[in-house]
Amino acid sequence: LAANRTYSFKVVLLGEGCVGKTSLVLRYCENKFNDKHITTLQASFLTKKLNITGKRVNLAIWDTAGQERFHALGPIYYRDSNGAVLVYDVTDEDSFQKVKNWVKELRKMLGNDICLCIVGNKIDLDKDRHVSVEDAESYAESVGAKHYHTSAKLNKGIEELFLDLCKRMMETAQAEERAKGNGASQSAATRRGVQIVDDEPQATPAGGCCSSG
Amino acid sequence: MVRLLQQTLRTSHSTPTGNTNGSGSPQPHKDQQELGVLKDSLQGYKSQNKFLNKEILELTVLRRNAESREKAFEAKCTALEARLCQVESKYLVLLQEVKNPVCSTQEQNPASEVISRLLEDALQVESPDQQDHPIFKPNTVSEYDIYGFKTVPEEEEEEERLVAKVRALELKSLSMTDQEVSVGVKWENFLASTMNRDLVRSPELKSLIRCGVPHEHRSKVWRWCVSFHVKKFRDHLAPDYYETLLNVAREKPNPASKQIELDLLRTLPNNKHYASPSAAGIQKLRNVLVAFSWRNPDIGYCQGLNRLAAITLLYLDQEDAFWALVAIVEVFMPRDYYTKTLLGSQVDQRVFKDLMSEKLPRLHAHFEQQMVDFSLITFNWFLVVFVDSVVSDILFKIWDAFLFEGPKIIFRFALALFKYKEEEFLKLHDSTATFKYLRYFTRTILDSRKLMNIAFAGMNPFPMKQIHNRRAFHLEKVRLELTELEAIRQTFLKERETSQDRRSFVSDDEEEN
Repeated sequence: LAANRTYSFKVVLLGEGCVGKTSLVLRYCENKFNDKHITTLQASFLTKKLNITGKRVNLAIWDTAGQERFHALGPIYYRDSNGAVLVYDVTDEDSFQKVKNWVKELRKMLGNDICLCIVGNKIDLDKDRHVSVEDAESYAESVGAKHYHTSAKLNKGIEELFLDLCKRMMETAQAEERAKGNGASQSAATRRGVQIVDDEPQATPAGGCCSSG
Repeated sequence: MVRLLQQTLRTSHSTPTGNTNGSGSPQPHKDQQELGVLKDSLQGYKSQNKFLNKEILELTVLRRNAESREKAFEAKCTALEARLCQVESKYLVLLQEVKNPVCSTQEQNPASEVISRLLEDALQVESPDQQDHPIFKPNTVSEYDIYGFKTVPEEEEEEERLVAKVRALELKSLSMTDQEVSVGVKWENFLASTMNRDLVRSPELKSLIRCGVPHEHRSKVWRWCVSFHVKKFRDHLAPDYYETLLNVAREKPNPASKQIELDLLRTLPNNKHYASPSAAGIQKLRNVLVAFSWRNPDIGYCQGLNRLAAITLLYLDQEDAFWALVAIVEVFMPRDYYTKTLLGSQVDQRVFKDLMSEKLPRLHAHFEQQMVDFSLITFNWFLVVFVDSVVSDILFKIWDAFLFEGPKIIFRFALALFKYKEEEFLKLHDSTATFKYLRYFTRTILDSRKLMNIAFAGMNPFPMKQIHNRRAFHLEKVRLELTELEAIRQTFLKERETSQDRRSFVSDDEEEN
């Protein structure tokens, strides 16, 4: 039974405007790069299917708007997320500060249940770098997040980032499953909408209603 | 004709001579002679006139016949062109089918190369240098639509380009139906009857606008709608108000400028008027947004306003586009639609959910059961009035009604879009598939007549009072939730500052053990 299992994870991309969130997800899901894409407003949604060590994983990636005022909508997107990818632009110190704000909010609202990735994008512009590698990596470690460097333009580091994130989300899900097996409360898993389902089409996730918040 | 001319010349030449003679020395005989000549001429003129009148009548009949034949040919040509578009779109779909056989065999199919080449040819669109050939057009779809949007994206994969081309062909054939033609005629007649006077709000105009405004009259109608809605503001302002705002913007730095600059080229990248820094629309867009941010410091600039401004700039000059933005934000939308927490926009999503459960209960229950929060997608529709969500032929028709009637139009069309594809949604049984479909289904709707019929006839009764009441009801709830969220954010920030040293995070890996 365990081998046939399909994991469904929800991942949310957060970060300041114009750091390359949409480019990352477009590169990852559709292997496209277009520096003329449209501004993301509230959110778009892309999916990706993976096979990790014989287990199927369905990723649903939510891309969000970067402008500050759209952060008011944040909870709607990250509420049931298993992972968050927090993106900054390595040439823009401000955007790194925004990542720190997101980390604070996510840890507060979701605790340690959510897998965090901090991503310095646009390393193709490394000569204009304004965020030091050491600072970024040590900060990530201090908050229990993994740090990655990517370039959506050159297609660098993106596969690794998502593959790694998936593995961590699977580990978290398996740990929760074991806890559940030991008779522990189901709340941790159900609250975040982790769907571990057998291969049946009518998979209905348990948990809170999406439309109330 | 020549004879007549000669005669006229002769007469006009002789008349003054006769006069001088007559006034000089009265000679009865000469006068008599003169009279005879004039009588002759008169007789000549009369018969000429008779002949010419007859000629005119005959020619008129001929012209009428030619005109009606021309009209018939034009109609036939349109019908054939529409038919060609339909056939071509079917041909494309067929080619794609043949290319991807259901049971794909590994070995190379000899025909596959031919099919690939045919597909490549079929995906060509009319390029600018072919346009001077007025009669024979090798490609039925031009590179850009009348609004300046690219019809078939170049960068995309073949399959997506194919879908785009099929869509463009179908839209073109839909735009040539009798119904569309008759709407055009109705507008011609209506505008002719207004004799260039200002339009007046009337049930007749309303129902005409609900059919969509033809491209060639849209500037006029939009300009009139906008000036109608912002009259109450403009009457108290100096005529150079917009210029003044621009001058202020040139002199003082503006906190909104950074985001505006970042977004200019990301506004409508697939429209030729906004595709490059040197494109004509970019500077105008910058001006409108900067001027607006000075007028509304509490909003400044909100992502999304760029798209509203860009759409209005396609039909209005800078200053009118600025006022259109004012009309939308300050007259149409409730307060705080685009301000710091997007409060008004969030409220409208709750209102829309209520309307969904009332007007489309089956679909609403279906989404509830799947726990699909459709407002994640519909939020955008409201914020930018469907820009980038529906095909441009439909977008501009929605905007015609929106600029005339106001925000209720957004609710009408949001409901109509779902109604149009209700059966398709009900067939989907998991949330991922539903979300995927939610993301693109609006672009698959091409028949604007059908959609507008649902929006205007299928959703009644639709009182604005109901929307107002619902808004008031949800406003308090959302406001409360936002305050709570803000409080949580603030406490956490304080907590973190005071207890930074004592905190240590357990990483996910450690949690594993």
